[in-house]
Amino acid sequence: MRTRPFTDVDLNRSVGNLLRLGVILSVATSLIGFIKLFTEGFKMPRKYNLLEMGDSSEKVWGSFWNSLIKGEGMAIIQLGILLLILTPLVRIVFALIGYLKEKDYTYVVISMIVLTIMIVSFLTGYAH
Amino acid sequence: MSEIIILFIGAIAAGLMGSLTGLGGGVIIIPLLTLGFGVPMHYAIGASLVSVIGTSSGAAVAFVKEGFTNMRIGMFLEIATTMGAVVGALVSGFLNPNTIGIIFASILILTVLLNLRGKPDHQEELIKGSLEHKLKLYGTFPDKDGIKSYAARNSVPGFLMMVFAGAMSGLLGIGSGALKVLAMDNMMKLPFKVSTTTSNFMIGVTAVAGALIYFQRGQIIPVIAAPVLIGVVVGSFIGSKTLMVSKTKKLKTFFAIVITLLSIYMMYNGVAKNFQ
Repeated sequence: MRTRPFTDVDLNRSVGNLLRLGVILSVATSLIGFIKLFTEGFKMPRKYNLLEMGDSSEKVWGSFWNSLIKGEGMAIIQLGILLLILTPLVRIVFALIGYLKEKDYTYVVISMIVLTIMIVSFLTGYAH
Repeated sequence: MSEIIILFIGAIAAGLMGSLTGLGGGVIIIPLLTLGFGVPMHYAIGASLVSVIGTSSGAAVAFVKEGFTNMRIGMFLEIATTMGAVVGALVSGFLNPNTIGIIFASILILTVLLNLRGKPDHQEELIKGSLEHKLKLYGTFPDKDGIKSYAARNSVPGFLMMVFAGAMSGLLGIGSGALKVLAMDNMMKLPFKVSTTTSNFMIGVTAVAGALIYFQRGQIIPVIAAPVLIGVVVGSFIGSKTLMVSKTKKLKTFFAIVITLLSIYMMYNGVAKNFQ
């Protein structure tokens, strides 16, 4: 069991490892998605604007979940992108836990403000 | 499938160039996707934001472990950059692609000018009882003659500059590292190594605040964003390995001219309404 107090050095190490894991997982998932997409015989449309994902968040999420359940390449690539987006968010949660262990309450509050802004961003995106 | 390979190769070049110039991949990827490949502006911004998250997180690993990154200063300023990014991403939804192109060109020229100036290297002492003391905006970093300590100054103007940097990130899909370094170097008077690495650390979270909105607007297209992401990450990695040997004054000037021409070209296409 570790008895010494949790310090910034521990926090730095865990954040570093987390970021690396997130990027590797995301790139690996996207690559698997591409291989799947290729086996499905995907053809890029002649114009990029034909690739639209739906104009409302409900359609975007709806088609994502539908396609993911079917195990389609497109949704697997999207999952990889979502993993990447999630990485810095988990990083903030890690830092928050770290500051709690260090009993640095000023930074517990500051981390919570940043997380709140992220939630606001998600919800304003969702309300679109 | 060949289009995806072309996107991938283009993204490697953008990542390499972004890393060699120190401007970041987004600055090159947006003109390449919109004017080079005819990708609609908002799809290009969405893809660029994703690649910015990838390069920032990838590079941050090394810096965080070396101990240059100040996570407290980063976290405090992230309040500013994420707020800015949300506003920028929302505003971008209402703007015409050509208007975004013109704003992009202007910020690009500003970035070149900022990059050409000599970089000051500050090391300020902590003032007891100041705002910076209360918010713990100080730290130490390893140097060849031992551990150096430093503290931030002018946190309020620095914070406001960060709101602007964040807004540009959400609006244009770039990391706006140059603006972040400007706030931390010139205003907050932080040591160069601390400001560069902390800025890079914050870029990922800032881009996520914007990306959450683009994703739900259906503007992050998997078959565009993923090859761009992987390409830019690979390109920046190659760039970071060659950075040490090639960072000469001549090369910097050459890149400055290339980027200036690129921003003039963007400006022209914005005025001529060529963006989709």
